[in-house]
Amino acid sequence: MKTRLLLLTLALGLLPSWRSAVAQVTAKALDSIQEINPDGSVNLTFQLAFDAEPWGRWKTQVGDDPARLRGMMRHQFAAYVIDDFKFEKDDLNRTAKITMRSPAGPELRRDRRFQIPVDGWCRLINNTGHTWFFSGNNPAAGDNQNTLKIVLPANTTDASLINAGMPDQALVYALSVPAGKSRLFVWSGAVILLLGAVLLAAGMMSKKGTAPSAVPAPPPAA
Amino acid sequence: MQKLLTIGGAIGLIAGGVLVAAGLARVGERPAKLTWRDPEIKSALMTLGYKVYANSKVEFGRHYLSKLVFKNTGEHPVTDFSIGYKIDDYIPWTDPENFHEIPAGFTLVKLFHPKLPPSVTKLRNATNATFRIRVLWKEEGRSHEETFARDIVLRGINELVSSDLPDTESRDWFDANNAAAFAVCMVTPNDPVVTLYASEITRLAGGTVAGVTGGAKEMVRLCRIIYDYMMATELRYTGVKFMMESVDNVTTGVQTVRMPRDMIQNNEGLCIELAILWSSVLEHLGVDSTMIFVRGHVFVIAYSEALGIPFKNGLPIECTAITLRAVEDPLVDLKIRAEKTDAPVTFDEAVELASKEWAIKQRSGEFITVPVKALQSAGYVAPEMADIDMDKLTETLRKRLPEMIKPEPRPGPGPVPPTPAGLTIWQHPQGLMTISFPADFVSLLQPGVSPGFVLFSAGNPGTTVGCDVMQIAGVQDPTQAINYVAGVFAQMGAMIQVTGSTPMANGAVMLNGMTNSAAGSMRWNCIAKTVPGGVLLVSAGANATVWGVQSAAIQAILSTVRFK
Repeated sequence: MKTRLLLLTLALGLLPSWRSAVAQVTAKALDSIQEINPDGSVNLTFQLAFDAEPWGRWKTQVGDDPARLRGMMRHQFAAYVIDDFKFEKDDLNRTAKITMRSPAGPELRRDRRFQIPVDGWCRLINNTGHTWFFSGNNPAAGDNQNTLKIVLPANTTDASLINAGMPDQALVYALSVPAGKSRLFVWSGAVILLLGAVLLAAGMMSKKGTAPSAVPAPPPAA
Repeated sequence: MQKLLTIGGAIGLIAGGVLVAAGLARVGERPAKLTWRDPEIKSALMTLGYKVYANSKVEFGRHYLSKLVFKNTGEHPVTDFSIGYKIDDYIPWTDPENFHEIPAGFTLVKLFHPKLPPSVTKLRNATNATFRIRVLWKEEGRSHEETFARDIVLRGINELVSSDLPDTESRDWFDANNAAAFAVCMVTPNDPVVTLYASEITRLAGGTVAGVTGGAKEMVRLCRIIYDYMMATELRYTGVKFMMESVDNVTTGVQTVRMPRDMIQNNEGLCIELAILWSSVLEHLGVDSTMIFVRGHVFVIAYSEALGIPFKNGLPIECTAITLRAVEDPLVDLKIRAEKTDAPVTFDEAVELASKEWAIKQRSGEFITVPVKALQSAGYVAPEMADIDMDKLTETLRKRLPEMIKPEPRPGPGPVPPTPAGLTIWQHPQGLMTISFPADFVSLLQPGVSPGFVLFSAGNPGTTVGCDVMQIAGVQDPTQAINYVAGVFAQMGAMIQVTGSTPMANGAVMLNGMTNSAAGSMRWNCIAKTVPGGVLLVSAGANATVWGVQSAAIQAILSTVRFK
């Protein structure tokens, strides 16, 4: 749970083989995009590139059997909820693209903010407030080249990177939650209430100002 | 005009009041609502792997007991969410994990990796237990509670299942054996029983086997010694015990597999038990191994990455060849023997047989490799071992070895036991213990430099193998003693790291660890025993880079330690 996104990224770079309890086929490069939605769901895109020999092995094991790949990922990466799994491969360029959606993405923090773990070896390259770019070489996957792009929701506030370069490096952010219908009702009701009170007061004032006097005007002086 | 203003004002007041009231009553919004998917709860756990289930880092947390997916489908946050679990009779209610709120629309995934107590290793047969999850939360200030309960099966300590995949997901032989890695939990290189067994094997080779010095040739020699010892002690292969069982939606093969210590005592085993025993002994002697699972069978490949003998150049060994009847057909089928004979299978034939089997399986692709050391590093570790009467076991093992190859007797009782050939004996000044070490060792004790608690220190600077005897006065137990030594060494610039401890039958404790200093890293094993007035520490070790090579020599030295 705690390192859900992190583990999936790592796992894709180290996809376990079903012929061995631990043998892995390592991708030459892994480019990941995590698009976080306001409801905490996440759209994930992984682009893997292989050298010739690992590409052959990877295809034999899972690349030619997307159902097995998805089944393995669902079973193996249990802290994730994998939906809308799509898989494309390009034999000419020895690349594979996996896209999926998970309703559960960032972790909830006790301070009501959200957290996305980022591997310590992944260094921040740039950020534009809502979009953060990282890059690094994964020591657990033969130092393969990794890039990571994280797109935060539009209503993100206070995004910052904590523990930069450390194993517990993470992107932390808050969301400005739009006012709900009830709050709209309260505020508009309050405004109308105030307006009504002003109108009523004006009506009352207007009534006082135009009422005929009960005292007759004094006769003109002789 | 005035009437219009008054009426308009009144309408405004009423409409505003209604809107404010509707807003406060949150009309038109979905209230907070916690929903969840059907809890996913594994139907059975192997108690032999209880440490694996407890470790959320093993294989990205896949060995969870339960997975729950919650979602707040409302438009307001679910607040004060907390979740905990228990397993009746084994784990009391855990401290709940708390979340201040689950925001509107959010999904929360919760995995449980149960911290079962070591007492589960005492379960001999499959036992039912009830797993319970309790969830507390608030919706719009109202408290809610939900409890999920499911019966699970805790398998007996010797029950090894081949798969934990639901039937609906299992497609082929690989899926049906997806739990093969758990076999590594039965590899116990540090069990005192395995230590004793290994020391008996090294004694057969002359008492001071130099491990795999010399690379592949020496590794082959070591494997030959192990095989010959098994043949000489009439270790037997006893066939396959395998049955299919269904629990809930998982149908799997279940094998009753004994730990190496049980095999050593009973002197018989299944193919998987023999492979596990081989892996245990090889690891104890500093040699790597991988178990190869094929349809209905398991064998091992011995290798040593540290010595430049990679897995692909490893030595396949047919462990069941110790019993002729088990392999007489394949020996002929694979043209290793021209016809069936009553001649026992030699080590060379066992290797040739396994090599041919391995070549066939590599061509077909139907095999699963289970690399022991890599999986141990990944978290597949052995459960706790109970104490055992080592003196009785020693006697049993001695009786098994025929007279013709019986090694020289160990030092007997008396003030100064006889010294084995090629060894020098050192005796504690008060006669509390003795230790024998190779005659080419030189004293490493430096008066005025060595700490005062070091009574004896000797070694071979060439091989870096050495042994020490330390007496720590005024401490009550081995932990205090090793902490004291670590403190003194730290002042001298050396860091002591204890990586494991195993109780021994004679009340001693076997410690494993490393000492790191500017001079390098030393790996060592140490027997710690409480004696009147303190604790005796008897260690033997070598530079970490040559541990694999010298491990057998180190074990041989420690096997000579005798306490009075």
